[in-house]
Amino acid sequence: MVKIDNRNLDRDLLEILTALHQDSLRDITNDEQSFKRFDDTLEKIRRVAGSRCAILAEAIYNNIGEKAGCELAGHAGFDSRETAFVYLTQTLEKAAQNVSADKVGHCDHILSDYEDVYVLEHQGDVLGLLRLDGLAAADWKRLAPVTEAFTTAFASRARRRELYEQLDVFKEAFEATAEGYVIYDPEDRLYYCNAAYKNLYDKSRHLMKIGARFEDILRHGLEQGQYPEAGDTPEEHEFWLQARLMVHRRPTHSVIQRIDNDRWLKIEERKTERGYTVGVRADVTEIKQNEEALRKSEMEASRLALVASKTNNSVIITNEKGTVEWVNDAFTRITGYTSDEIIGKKPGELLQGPGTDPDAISYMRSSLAAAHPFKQTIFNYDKSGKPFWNQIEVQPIFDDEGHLTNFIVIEQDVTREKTSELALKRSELKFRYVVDMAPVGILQTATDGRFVDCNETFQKLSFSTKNELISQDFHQIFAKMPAAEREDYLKHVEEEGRAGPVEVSLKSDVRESSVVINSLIVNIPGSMPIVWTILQDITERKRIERLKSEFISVVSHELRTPITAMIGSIGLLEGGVFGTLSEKQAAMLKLASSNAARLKTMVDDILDSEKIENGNLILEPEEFDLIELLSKTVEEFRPYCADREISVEFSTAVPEARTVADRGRIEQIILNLLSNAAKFSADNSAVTVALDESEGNFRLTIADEGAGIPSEALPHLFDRFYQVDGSDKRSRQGTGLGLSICQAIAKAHGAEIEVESEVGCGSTFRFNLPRAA
Amino acid sequence: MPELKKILYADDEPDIRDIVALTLSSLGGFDVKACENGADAIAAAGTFKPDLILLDVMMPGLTGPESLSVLRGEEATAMTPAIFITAKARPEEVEELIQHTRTGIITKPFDPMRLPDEVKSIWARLSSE
Repeated sequence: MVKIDNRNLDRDLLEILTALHQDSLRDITNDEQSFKRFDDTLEKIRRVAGSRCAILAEAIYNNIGEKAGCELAGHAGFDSRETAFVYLTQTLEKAAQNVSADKVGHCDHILSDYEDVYVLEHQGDVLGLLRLDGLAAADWKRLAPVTEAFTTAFASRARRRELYEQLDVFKEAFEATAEGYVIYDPEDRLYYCNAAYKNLYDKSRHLMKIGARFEDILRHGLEQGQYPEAGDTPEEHEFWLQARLMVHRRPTHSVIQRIDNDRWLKIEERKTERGYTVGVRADVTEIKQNEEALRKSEMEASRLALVASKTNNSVIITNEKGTVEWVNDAFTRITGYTSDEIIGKKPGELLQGPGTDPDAISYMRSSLAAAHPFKQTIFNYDKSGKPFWNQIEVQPIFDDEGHLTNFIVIEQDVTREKTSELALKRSELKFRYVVDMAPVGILQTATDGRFVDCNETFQKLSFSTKNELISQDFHQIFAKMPAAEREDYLKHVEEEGRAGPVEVSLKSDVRESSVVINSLIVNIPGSMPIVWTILQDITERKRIERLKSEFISVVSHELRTPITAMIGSIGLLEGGVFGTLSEKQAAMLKLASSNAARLKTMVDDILDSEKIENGNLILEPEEFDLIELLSKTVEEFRPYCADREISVEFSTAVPEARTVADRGRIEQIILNLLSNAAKFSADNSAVTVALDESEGNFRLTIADEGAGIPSEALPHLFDRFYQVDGSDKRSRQGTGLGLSICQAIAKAHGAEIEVESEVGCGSTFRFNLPRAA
Repeated sequence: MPELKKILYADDEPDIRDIVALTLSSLGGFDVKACENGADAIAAAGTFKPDLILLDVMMPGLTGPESLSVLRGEEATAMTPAIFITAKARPEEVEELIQHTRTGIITKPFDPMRLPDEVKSIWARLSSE
C-alpha cells in the first residue's frame, strides 16, 4: 500500500515546474495564502472524515483548476461552485459517519475505480478528490462528469511528469558538460542556459535570467570590458556589437571569441525549426595558446636559421665533448677555415697560438668540463696566421633529462674594439697620470655636490686624504666659503655650466691654504655629469702680497720721516724764519724744495696705487663749491708755471657749482692733470681749466697746447706705470702712476676721465662730477 | 673759549722734533715742551699741564697711542686734546689711531709753514667735542 502525502506531491511538482517555467508559476509559488487555504481545507476534511478517509489532493491550479471548477458546477447540476461545495461538504459529513476502517489507504485505485470519489473545491479552485466508502450511488452519479474531466487531467499530468523527467535528464546532462549551452527563443530572449555558460560570461551572470534579451547581455559584457577584441572607442564597440548580433541572428559558421583578455571561446550557434537559437560555447584557450606557442616557435626557428646564415658572428655547434659538428658561413669568413676543415675538431686546435693567454685557455676548459656557460675574449689566429681578438660566448645545451648534449658557441672578431679599448685604457692612464701630477688641485663632484674623485694636489691643499673626503660633499669641503656665496657658486655652475674664479680658504686644525677655484660641468654621453673644480694654490702669492703690503707700509714710514725733515727745514728757511736769503741761496733752496716735493709725490703715488690695488681707496665725500676749489687750485698752481711763462686760466660757464665728492681727492686729480699739462706744454703757451654743464652734471675740462699724445698711446694712458715713449725727457719723469690713480679716483666717484689728443695739437682731459642734491 | 698756549710734544726723531718744536714756537708762538719719548712726556705732563698733546706714533718704548692711554689716566691730561703725527697711510691704521677721544691726526710729511695753523685748527675742533 502506498500512502501519498498530497502536499508533498504538490510541492515536488511545483519545484519541477518552478525550475522549468519560473515565470509562469511565479504567482502561485509566492502565494502562501493559497497553500494555507488548501491546508485548512484538508485539515477540515481530516477532522470530519477522521483517519478513515484517504485523500488524493492534486493541486492543479490555473488552467486545469478553473476549467474543472466550471465543469464541476455545470455537469453536477449545481447552480454554482459554492453550492457544489456546500453539497459536497454536507455529503462528506454524512458519509464520514459510515466510513469503514478497512477502506482507508486505497487511494491508489482511485483512477480505475473511482466510486465514492468527491471533488474538493475551494474558492473556485479544484483542490482534490476525496474517496469515501458508503457514498450513495445517486450522489456518485451526479459527480460522474467531474470525475471524467479529472481523469483527463490526471492523464495529462502523468504525461507532463514523464516529460519533466526527460527534461530533468537533459538538464542534468547539460549541467554536467564543460561547454556552455544556451537557448534563446525566437524573440532572442534567454530560454535556458547551463552553469558553464554563466561561468564563461561571469561578468554578465546576474543578467542571465529566463527572458533576458541576448543583446542586453552582450551589451553589458561589452561595457564590462569582457570582449577585448571589440576595440576601445564607443564607435568601435557599437560596430562590434552589431556584427556579433548579425552572426548570432543568422548563424552560418562558428566564431572564435576572445574574452577577458586570457580566454578564447569557440561559439557554435544554430537555429531550430521553431526559431530558437541553440548555442554552444567551448573554451579553446588551451588550443589557441598551443597554436600561438607553435607559431612563435616556428617563427623563432625561422629567425634563428636566418640569423645563423646571415650573421657576421661565427656560430658553432659542438657535441658534448666540444668537437665541432656544424659551423655557419661566418666562421669561414672570420677564420679562413672551411666547415670540412673544422668539423670533427675542437676550435682551439686550429685557432689558438703562441699569443693566446694560457690562463684564458685554462678557464675555458674548466668551464666546458663543468658545462658552465661563459664569455671570454682571447687572442686567436686565422688560417693565414693573422692574429685577431676573438670574443667567445659558450652556452651548454641539455636534453629534457638534464644530460649535456651540445655546446653552442658564438664567436665575434672584436679586434677593432679591443684595440680601441686598449688605446682608451692607455689614454685614460695618461690622463690619470696628468691629473694626479698636475700642480693644481682637481676635485670631481656630482652635480648634487657628492665627492667623486680628486688628485694628489687637491689632497695636499685640503689637508685631507681621499678616504676622508669620500664621505664629504662640496659644502663640507669648502666650509670656509660663506654659505650664501657657496650656494650662488653652485647655482652658477648648474645654470651656466661653469663658475669662478673665486678665492676661498681651505683649513685644517693648524694650517690654512688660499686657493682660487674655477668649476666646469663635464657632460660625457652615457655617464653622469661631473663638476670639475680646479684649485690654484695662491697661498704663497697671498703671503707675498701681505709682505709687500707690510713692506710698503714700513718703507713709506721710513721715507716720510726724512722727507718731513727735509721739507720742514727747507720750508722754514724759505719762509724766512732764519732771516732773508740771497738770490742764489733762494734758487738753490727752491731746487731742493721742488725735488723734495717730487719725492713726496712719488711716495704718495706708490701708497695710493697700493691702496687702489688692494681695494682700500676710501672716499670721504662732502658737499663743496667746485668753482671755489678750481679757482684756489689754479691760483696756487699758477706760480709753478710762471718762470716758463705758461698761462693757467680758469673759466666757468655756470654761476655756482656745488657738488658732493671727496674734495681732497678731486683736488689731487686737478693738480695731477694741471701738472701734466704744464709739463708737456711749451714755454709761452696756455693751459685752460673750464667748468660747464653736461647732461645734468658739472663737466671739468683741462686743456693744453702741448705736444699731444700719439694715438697708439691713448688706450694705455691710464694703465699703471705706463709712460708715453717720447723723445722729450720730461715724459720720463715720474712713476707713471699719476693718471692711473686719477682714473681710479674718478671711477670711485662713478665718473671716468676721457682724453682727446692729437700730436702737435695739445691734449684735453674731461670728467664729470654730480650736482649736489 | 680758552686759548692754545702749551703743547706737550714727544718724538724720538731728533730732526723732526727740532723742526716741529722750532716751527710751533717760532712761527706759532706756542710754549712747546719737546720730549724724546713717551715716558718723558708722561713725566712732564703733571707739572707742564699742556693744552695740547702732540705725539709721534712710532716711538721706541711706549708708542704714541700707549703714551696717550697713560696720559688719559692722569688728572691733568684726562681730557686734553691730542694729535698723532704719523707716516702711516693705510686707512685701517689711521682708523685705529683716532679711536681715542679728542684725538686728531697730522700725516707726514707736513708743510712746516702751515703746521701752526693746522695744529690750532684741529685743537679748536677737538676742544669743542
